[in-house]
Amino acid sequence: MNLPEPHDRFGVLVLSVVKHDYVARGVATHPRFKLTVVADEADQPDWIHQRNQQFADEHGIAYVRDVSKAIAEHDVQVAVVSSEAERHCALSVQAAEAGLHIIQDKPMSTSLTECDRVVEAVAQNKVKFLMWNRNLFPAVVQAREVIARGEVGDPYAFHVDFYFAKDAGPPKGSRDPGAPPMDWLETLKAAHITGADGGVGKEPMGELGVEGCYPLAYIAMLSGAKVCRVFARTTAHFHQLYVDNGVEDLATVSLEFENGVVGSLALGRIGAASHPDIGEIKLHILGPKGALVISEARPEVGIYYRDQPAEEFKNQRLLDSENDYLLADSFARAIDTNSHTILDAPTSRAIAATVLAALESSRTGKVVDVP
Amino acid sequence: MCDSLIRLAVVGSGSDVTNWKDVSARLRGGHIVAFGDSMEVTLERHQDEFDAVIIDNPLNDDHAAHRAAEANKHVFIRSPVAENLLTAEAIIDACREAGISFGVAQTLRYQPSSQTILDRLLAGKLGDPGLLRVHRWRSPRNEPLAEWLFPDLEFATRLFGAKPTEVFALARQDDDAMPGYVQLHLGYPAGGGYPAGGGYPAGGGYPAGGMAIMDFSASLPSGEGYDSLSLIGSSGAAYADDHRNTHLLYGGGNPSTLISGEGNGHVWREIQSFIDAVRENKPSPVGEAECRTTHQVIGAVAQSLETGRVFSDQGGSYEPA
Repeated sequence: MNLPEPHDRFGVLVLSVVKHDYVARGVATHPRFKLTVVADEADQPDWIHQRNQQFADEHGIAYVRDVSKAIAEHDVQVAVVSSEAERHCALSVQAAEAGLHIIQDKPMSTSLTECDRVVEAVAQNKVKFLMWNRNLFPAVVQAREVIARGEVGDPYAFHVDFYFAKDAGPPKGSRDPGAPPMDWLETLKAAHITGADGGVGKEPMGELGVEGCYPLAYIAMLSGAKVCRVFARTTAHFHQLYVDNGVEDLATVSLEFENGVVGSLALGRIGAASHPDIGEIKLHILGPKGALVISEARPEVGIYYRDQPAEEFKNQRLLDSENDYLLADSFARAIDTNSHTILDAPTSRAIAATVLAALESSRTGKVVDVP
Repeated sequence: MCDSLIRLAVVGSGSDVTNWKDVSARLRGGHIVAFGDSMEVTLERHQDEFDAVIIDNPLNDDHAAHRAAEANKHVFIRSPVAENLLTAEAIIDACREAGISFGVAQTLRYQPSSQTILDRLLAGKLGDPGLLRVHRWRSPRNEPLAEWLFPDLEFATRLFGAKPTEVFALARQDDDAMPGYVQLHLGYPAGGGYPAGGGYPAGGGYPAGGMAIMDFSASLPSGEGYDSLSLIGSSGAAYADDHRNTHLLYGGGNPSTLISGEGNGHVWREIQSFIDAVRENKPSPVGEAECRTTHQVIGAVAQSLETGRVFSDQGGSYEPA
């Protein structure tokens, strides 16, 4: 048995950690990865520096307000990017050009041009890129195995329900009609403590933009096919924050793939009252020989007790950390063997293109080709 | 209000009448008195013995409803009533001209899960409906598109309080005759809300509008089908899903599942609703308007499948968006 040697470890540059620190924490669950230094651009506002510093202090590592300097002065091979979405690609390109492998938080970007820059930088510098995802939750892995064994035949339709039963400030219509619009950045900054700040940044982002990557990543892995046309509807149905900022908290998307496969997404931040746990996250897969209905959350355990806090999920997932470990493990293997990562840059770019096409479809009411 | 019992004949149900006898025993204000394989034979044998007819398999007996109307029998006809809007309208017109009641047996509306969801929605517990998600998967069968789609499209209109503003559809063709899979993507309008007296609202829709995704498959191996319906509202959600209602059966190896069905109570409830409508001389809960609206939407689905385009409601008819 080949146990990892200390010199096999990858030094990790945490390249901005303003929102989901679970990505860096997830990477650190694997013994091959060692959090080494936190870095960010010097000209960022104070709140960003504070968050970076706090994470660095918690892990007993340095925070350097100069990305190039951090790379030059520390022994790092991997960058974990979890900045605001609008800075994701610039930081990833900088890391790739410095020869670092990249693990990036979703979404890839709000701009397809930026996604293209990452794809090009990763290819030119021959580094690996992994978009953090949920593809290795046990139920999803089980679905992949069932499909690989041919038990349903070649799937011809994929459907994913991806609802987060979380609130996002006051319900739609509940504020004083004369109240000023809610400020996106300030509200999302305040949501950091709950982890509901995936869309933090100057540019408001709806749920399809922020979370669409996850269900599309399931489908990309299970189908191996590219989406070529979409039709979508979106609305701000639940939360005043989304109404005030003109972004969606509910979306449906029909998908047509190049190989004739079809699919759909139903996605939203549907409010904490709407489900006893994090939300209904299900995969429906149809093939000529059978079908699969998979709940991504399972296995889980039901926990109910007197004076239970309302915000505590009554059904607790058991294996979140398993997804973290397996993602990190697969990334290490991709580096070791120079193979594809489980969600590489071209696939991530294709997912971003699908999301942006869906948003355009929802604005125009028409079917849109995915570039 | 009519004081006399409504005498019902059942046409087109085949030879198994056991379930119907149970249903008859539960009815108030009416009872089943005759059965027949076709309308012609039923009229020939029982012409003066019944007041209303349940046409259980209308697509197998194209003229049954017209013959019933000519014979002055109230018509309660299984969805989809007909294969298309034109044929359905001819039946509606025939009933109207004969001065008899017309109702659609729309089983989905009366299933316990549907009734529970509708009850909570109308009580305001779920808020404004935002997203309806439906899966209906079956083993291969040769059914016209209307037969697949009518129940869920009609129920969706009831849930959203308006017909769709946008219709988009995708299909997979397994043979020359019928698609083996259909996906519907529907948009619903903003504005309106339900009037206090029930029925569809005149203005249509809830304040936020909404959307629905449904898929219908006929590719499962022979055996049980899969049904799932979830409704996400602005303040709550409802999930009626076979996946949630499964039991485990151990017989070696991986366990198999058993799914508890919803019983046959919906058959009694839908017939009762028709009897009540006839006796009280009021429209059937699923009547002329609901039948026309649903067939309009099915027509738009067919056009979308043919052209690959989105169709939008242009003041009564669906046109390419």
